Amino acid sequence: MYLNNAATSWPKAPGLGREVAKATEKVPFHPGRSGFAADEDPMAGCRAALARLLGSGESQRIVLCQHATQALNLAIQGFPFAPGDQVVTTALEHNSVLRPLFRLEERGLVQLIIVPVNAEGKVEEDAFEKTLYEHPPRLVVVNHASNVTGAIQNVETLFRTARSLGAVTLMDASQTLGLVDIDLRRLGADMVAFTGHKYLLGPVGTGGLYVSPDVELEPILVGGTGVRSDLRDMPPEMPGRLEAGTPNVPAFAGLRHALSWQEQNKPDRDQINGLCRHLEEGLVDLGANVVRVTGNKTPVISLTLPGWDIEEMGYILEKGHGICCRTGLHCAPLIHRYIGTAPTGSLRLSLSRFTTAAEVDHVLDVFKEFTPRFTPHVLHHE
Amino acid sequence: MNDFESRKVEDCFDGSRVYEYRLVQSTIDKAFIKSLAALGQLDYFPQFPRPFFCVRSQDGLQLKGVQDEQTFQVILPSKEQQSRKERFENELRKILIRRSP
Repeated sequence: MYLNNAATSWPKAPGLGREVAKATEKVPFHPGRSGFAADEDPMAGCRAALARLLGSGESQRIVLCQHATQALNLAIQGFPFAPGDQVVTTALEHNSVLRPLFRLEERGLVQLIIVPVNAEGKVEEDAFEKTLYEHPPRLVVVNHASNVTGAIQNVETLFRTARSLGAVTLMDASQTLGLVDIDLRRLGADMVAFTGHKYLLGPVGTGGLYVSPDVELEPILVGGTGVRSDLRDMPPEMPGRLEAGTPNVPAFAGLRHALSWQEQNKPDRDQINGLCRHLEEGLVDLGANVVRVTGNKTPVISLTLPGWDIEEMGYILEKGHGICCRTGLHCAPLIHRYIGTAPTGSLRLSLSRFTTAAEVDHVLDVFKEFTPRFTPHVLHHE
Repeated sequence: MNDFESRKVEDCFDGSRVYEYRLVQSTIDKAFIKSLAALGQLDYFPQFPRPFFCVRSQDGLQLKGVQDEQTFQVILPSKEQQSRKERFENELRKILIRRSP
């Protein structure tokens, strides 16, 4: 049973494997480097579908990347900072945001301000606003949803104040795109980073970054693009300016297929949320310390269990019951001090649109064996 | 032929201390689990369909596994890791020799 969808989704969109194989076996297609018709270009197909999904009419402003980490590095390290610039972000961020920012801070290129979160892993709007006024930022980075607690942030409100102060806004939609409706104009996001292999149900090795026409990023990777090869620098046109190198075309053929499948088969969020609530409540009844989230959330549950080491629990679930989940900090090291799971982190169960009620009930049956913490048999060497 | 193999396992923290061991010619049965009590305090959880066990030695070595698997996991103490790993493997060899027919 697979309950690690916040790491990468499984199963993927039906038929994905065939699409990737087909694209691998056919005559290679190099975007921008051949005269094939545009509708055969998987990259163009992805851009068009992603533009629709994000509520943007500007498919040429979608830079396709290998993953959200690359997209976030591009947005942060390629941002045209000036000396003295401040960046405001939050304690719920993933290392894909924190590590690039820490590097810039250590090099003295920016001053970094990290806003705490509450016990649900949510940014308090008042605290965020106060920070923005105290430290007017050039760039604000907020994770749309925590990969640890599932809490969906009120990005629209957070970004409204940030933009009113002249900041550029960057949203990490790794945990939401494909699951939660995103309208980047309504949210006020100047840049949105996303991955293809989580709730978009695409293959690993795919992701991207939407960049508003008002934002000019510098490439952090330069090289061949297949166009304007006579120039010493990267060509000015988007998205090629930020897409050096030959892309993983078969993977993007897979992503295009997944996006098309998703357009025809929208996830039933009520059903997913209902299962998630049922699992949460069952775990609480069994004595687990579940990080409860009020309001909107993704189907992610973080918990600890009194008397149990989370690593041991994860090991038993996986090896003893075939339940794939995740333990530890989940690459989001700062949030745990606010949600009561520091220093070792939590056991995380993350559902998807394919998780069934029978699977959730089975997980609850398994957890009954953990609780209450029974006295183990102390075996002695004979 | 070696009785076991080991490989480093990456985890969320400092993965350099975590190893997975695989018994090459046998699976982990209750007799093997009992013999691990020679290494430290052995806790055994028979309530699970596939019983879980863990061992904690006085110097901080931790071992955990599930009955009927071929693999188990060892977390070495932070001090003198290489020599502790060698000592653990010697102890494991002795255990395996004792239980061989």
